[in-house]
Amino acid sequence: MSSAAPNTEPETMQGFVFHEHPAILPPLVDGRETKRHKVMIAGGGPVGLAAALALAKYGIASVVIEADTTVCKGSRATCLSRRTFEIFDRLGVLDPFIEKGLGWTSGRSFYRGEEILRFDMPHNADQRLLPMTNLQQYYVEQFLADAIDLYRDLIEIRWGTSVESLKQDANGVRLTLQANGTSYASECDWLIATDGARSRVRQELGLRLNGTAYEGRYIIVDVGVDLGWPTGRLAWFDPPSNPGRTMLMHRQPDNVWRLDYQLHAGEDAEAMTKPEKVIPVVEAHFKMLGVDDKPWHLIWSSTYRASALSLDEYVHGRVMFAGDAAHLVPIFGVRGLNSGFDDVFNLAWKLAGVIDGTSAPSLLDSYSHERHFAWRTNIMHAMKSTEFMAPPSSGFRLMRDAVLSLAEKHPELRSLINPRQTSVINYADTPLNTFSADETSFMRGPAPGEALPEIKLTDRDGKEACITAQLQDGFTLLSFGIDEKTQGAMAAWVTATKSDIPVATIAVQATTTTNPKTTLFDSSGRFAEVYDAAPQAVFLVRPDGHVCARWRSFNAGDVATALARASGADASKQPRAETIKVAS
Amino acid sequence: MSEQQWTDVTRDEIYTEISGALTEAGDKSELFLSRLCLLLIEELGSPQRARQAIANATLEAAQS
Ligand SMILES: Cc1cc2nc3c(=O)[nH]c(=O)nc-3n(C[C@H](O)[C@H](O)[C@H](O)COP(=O)(O)OP(=O)(O)OC[C@H]3O[C@@H](n4cnc5c(N)ncnc54)[C@H](O)[C@@H]3O)c2cc1C
Repeated sequence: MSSAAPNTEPETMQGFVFHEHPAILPPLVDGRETKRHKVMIAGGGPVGLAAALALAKYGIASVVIEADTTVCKGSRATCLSRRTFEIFDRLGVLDPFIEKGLGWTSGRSFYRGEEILRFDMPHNADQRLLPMTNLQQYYVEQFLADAIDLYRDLIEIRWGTSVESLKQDANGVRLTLQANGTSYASECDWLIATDGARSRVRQELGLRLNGTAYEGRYIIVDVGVDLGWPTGRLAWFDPPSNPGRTMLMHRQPDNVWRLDYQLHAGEDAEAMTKPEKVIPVVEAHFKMLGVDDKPWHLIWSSTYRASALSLDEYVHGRVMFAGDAAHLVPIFGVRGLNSGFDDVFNLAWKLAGVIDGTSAPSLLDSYSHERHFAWRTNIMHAMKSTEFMAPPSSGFRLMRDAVLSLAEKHPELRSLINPRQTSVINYADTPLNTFSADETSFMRGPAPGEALPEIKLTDRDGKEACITAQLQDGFTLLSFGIDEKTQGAMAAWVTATKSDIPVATIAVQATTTTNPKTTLFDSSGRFAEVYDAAPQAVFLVRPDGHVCARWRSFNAGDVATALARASGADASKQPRAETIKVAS
Repeated sequence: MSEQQWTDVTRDEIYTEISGALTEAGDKSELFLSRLCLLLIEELGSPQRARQAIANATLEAAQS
């Protein structure tokens, strides 16, 4: 997708070191790997690495097959969402991202010379994480690989090894891998395909992406410069420095700035990535911004073309697709990588349940259902952003220019310019939801399918304890203001169900409680307000943090039914091989 | 059925629909826009508001 311009390939980049990992062959007998694996992951990009970590959280071992010998070079994902950081926290990898990343909350848009919009990302005092954080993709991959190092007993990354071909039957997948010129066969029960936009696995299964590829091309440029400016999204429409172009600018760590700009119709994309073409555009832009006195250098440049493409199904027998291998989203609104992390966070607990035998294989269909819905939601927003950033036809251009020229004096039109950045997807119509008899009595708060809204609680010592940070792996029964008797009944039910499906409990109390077992307090009253929770309210939360049912009070039978549905336990009695469809 | 309200979402949808219709109109796009204007001023309720909208839409030299 990104074709690097002929810059000399650096071993280090503004302080980042690209560690090389040699390709290592496993023990082979007659060209076959002796060990059969539970899970193999084709592609060790960010999404594949996150998949391995997410599975390890459930004790599931995996082998990651990565064609490259180091993390990705070149400029790709920059903006990581709050939801992605929540996922990182659950994977136990958040700290380095917070430390290195540059968080931001707002952006500014300019039309010709004038500022026409300042927008704020959804953010309030309830949040512990910023709505967006900028970090180069090579850091993202490196931090995930570092975390994997701590799971050596469960995860193996096979660098410098590529998937050449594969075959599957009802019991598993047989792959032909290649490393250092040696081909060998490997077998696994399940294959997760995270081998990117040009997925070999997808081709091998004869599957195609469907959707729209846009005509417009963009140049993506990273430059090294210390501007001393704050982090935030900066956009210029038709700037005097580069008339007719749309320019975006993002600050990244290590004094790296990302610029993207749209090519004019008829400009040759490849030629336009050449330094002699890129430098004048950047120079003119910096001059307009009054920063042309700052020394800067070109790091790399590439072209990008937006597409909204997806497989129709993400689960094909024993093979599951995630990330760019499954779907592509235009970069405006930054849903590409962010949605890939949500894919594997959705998939991991389901696959772990199926492998453990607690969930029916049909639970995996809900992965496809929910994440394909997420893609449709994502492209709807991303296409709007794309149509605004790069109008696809004369009508869109006229309307866009009309909005831009009116926005300064007519604030009611400004929402049309807002870049519609990624937000958490609501799985409103997933078959895993249970709509209880109490559902209609909730006026607000997370309905089945919605992710838990963040709230700051306090613990026994009066320290801040955020709700999304309390979630553990597995299902959670979250209650508000329950009395000791109910707490006892809940504990008894949790112990009884433990042999099948582990359920954790989080009991939140209003500040004034006599219940001695309380550990979390709603001191601010925000939980009760945001969740529309009167005392005794109960929420059943999936391992990926989405609510699947809620009630006004605890009833073991009702919760058990909802849990069985959401965990795929109710269908798990069917024989496995019969329920797996293998495409011919 | 109750009438839809203006929200960011509905404004977005209508924006897209006009953009599409405008592209469809091709070399008749000016005629399309004029017709749309005439229909819309009838919805405005008063000639003053129509005059105000004309003034607001009038291009200043810098924007032409
Ligand atoms: C210019 C640009 C800007 C972007 N900005 C953003 C952003 O700000 N936010 C955002 O969320 N997203 C952004 N994206 C999208 C984001 O980069 C991708 O969505 C993301 O990289 C997808 O991750 P992935 O792991 O699915 O695939 P990839 O990153 O493509 O990783 C696939 C991996 O599989 C390996 N592989 C391929 N074939 C084989 C094979 N046969 N055998 C073994 N291994 C193989 C590759 O070497 C690679 O490491 C941007 C993309 C571009 C191009």
